[in-house]
Amino acid sequence: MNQLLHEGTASNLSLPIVPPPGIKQYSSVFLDPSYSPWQFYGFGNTTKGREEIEKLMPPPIPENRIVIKPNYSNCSDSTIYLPSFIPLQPKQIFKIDQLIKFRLKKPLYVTVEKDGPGFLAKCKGLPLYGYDEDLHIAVNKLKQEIENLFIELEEDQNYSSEWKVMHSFLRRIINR
Amino acid sequence: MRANRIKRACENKLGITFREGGEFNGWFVYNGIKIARVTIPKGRKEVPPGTLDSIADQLKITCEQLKYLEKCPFKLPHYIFELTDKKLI
Repeated sequence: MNQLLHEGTASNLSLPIVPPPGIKQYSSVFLDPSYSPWQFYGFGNTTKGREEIEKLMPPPIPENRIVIKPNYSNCSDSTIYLPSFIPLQPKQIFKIDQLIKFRLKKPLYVTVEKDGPGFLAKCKGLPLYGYDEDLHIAVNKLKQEIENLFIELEEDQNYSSEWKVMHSFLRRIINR
Repeated sequence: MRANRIKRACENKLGITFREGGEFNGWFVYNGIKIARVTIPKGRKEVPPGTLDSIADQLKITCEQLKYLEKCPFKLPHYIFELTDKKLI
């Protein structure tokens, strides 16, 4: 048996792999120091057009720089935070859980988008808007609009059926 | 389009009375029933396109019709016809 193992079969033979001089061994893969990554991407050994290819590649991120990509989509009213150096995306949705005087039983979703020099805040399902050059004031104006509409609808009942639906909706969500 | 000119057109042509608050708020009333509520920003600044769309939506007309309302051809009978056509009155 020992003799058999010593002699071995072709599959059992494990010959030491010795890399040729000047080439490092890296987990059974030989890495040539003169190896060009361009070769790996199929560009061959040539450096022709290398500058054009480098232009297409994204710039490297410096090691000491931390890139934070905040997602404001799920921010609730109390945590709306948008520093001036972070640009607003084309349309962002904020959740508001209170108005100016009243509190909300259920949160409302407000869409804020850039409009000219300012911001336009709108609420889906309500024909209201708030516009201002400051995002926070635009949202506050929309809140004021919702409150005003609710107060006006509470004053008298002489409005069309469309407004009746909105009145009942506001009654459901506003906690007086 | 300037905000003050839209407000003036709404007052003169549609008979909307505005209540002064943070913004100008007014109701279009037809036969004693409130039909449309419109908000117009204060000042004489040019209204940006998104806000203009929102004002047109509040009046239940198109942006083009709002421009005509501010200029001249669109008047109260046209507006009432428009609302009747949309079965809002």
